[in-house]
Amino acid sequence: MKVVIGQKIQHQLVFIGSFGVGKTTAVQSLSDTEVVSMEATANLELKQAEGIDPKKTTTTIGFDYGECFLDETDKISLYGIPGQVRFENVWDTLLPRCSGVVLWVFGNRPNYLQECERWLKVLKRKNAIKKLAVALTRIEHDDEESLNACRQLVAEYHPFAPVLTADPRDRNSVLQATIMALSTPYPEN
Amino acid sequence: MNTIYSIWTNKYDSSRVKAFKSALTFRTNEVWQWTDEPDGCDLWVVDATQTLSPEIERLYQEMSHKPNVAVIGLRSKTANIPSKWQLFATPVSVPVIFRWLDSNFYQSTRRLKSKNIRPSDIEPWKQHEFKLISWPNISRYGSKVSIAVTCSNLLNAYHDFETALKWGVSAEILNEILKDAYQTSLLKIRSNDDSKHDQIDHSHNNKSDKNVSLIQKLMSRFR
Repeated sequence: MKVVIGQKIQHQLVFIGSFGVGKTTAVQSLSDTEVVSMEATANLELKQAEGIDPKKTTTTIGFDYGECFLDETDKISLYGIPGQVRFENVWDTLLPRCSGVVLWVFGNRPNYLQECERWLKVLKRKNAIKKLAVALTRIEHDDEESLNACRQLVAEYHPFAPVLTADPRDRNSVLQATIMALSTPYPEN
Repeated sequence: MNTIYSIWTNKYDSSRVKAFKSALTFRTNEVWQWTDEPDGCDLWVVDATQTLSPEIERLYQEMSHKPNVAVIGLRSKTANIPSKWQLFATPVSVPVIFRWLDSNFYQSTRRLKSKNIRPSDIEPWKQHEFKLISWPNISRYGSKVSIAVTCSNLLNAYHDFETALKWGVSAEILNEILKDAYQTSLLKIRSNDDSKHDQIDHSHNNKSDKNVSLIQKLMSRFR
């Protein structure tokens, strides 16, 4: 078993997004260790939210934590952080110092742009907008209309941030979103 | 050689339309000209801040070659516009316009104009080093990690075609990515002479991007 407590944290990658979008699953897809989850039973309102897997009965109340080992000395700490505003203190702790952020958004919801914008405002406020990729879930790769509408919105906050379709269950897909977040250029003043 | 594009609008005296047109003057290598004729035009700029006349949509439906349509207005008043029209909520910002042009407009327009492309303009990335200015729409090419890796490398520095092929993407997909990027003005190409003297881009990027080594390790880890 790998020792978690006491190890130097060199890089942090944060997965953020609304309840049920797949943050915990995305952490699990990349993590080399068993993911430490802080989940509680979701209330009825959350369970009935649109687009949520009816089998999903829990929600993250602290954060999910996993680790991806790059070599013998270096690793990425993976965080899936909760979507509810009442956990803003968790955002404050993790977002400002992270190496990259993947924002997961339900692409199949009619209000997905509003949902996305809510998160973009949070990321901008928390000074975590620079290394960003926006991953739309549950839509087809060729849904250009949804992708372009989202790109237009995201460009208002970050001119170069990529918007892509992704599946949190698919390691390649999560890895692709991660690499894109980490390598996104940001215009310096 | 500048590319000429034509614009038609339903309100030539609208300050919002004029502002939109003014933004286009910042596009280098492009000339945007007003036209009175909506048919055969590259771009319609429709001011819908007050009302959107159904006549506009009717006119659009009659067009044999559908133009790109940019609608300036409020989301609340333009909920029923055709799905292919692009809404620009007021106030419209220049980066938003540019983003739309780069991601959407040129692909459809240049396809129509492709007959006018000279042979020497085709695939210049095969002869010169190139670099991506921004992320292309990589969802179009599938969720292969090698695509993200290739684009990531090309965002960080100039490379040639042969080098880019070593990152695992097939020549066919790489060519497609570069072609799309070139047509949407996302590809920066420099001559071989420039590459000998121009070190500015490399030094700037090495300094500004602290994640480069992390990405390289991540790539190695999942190779």
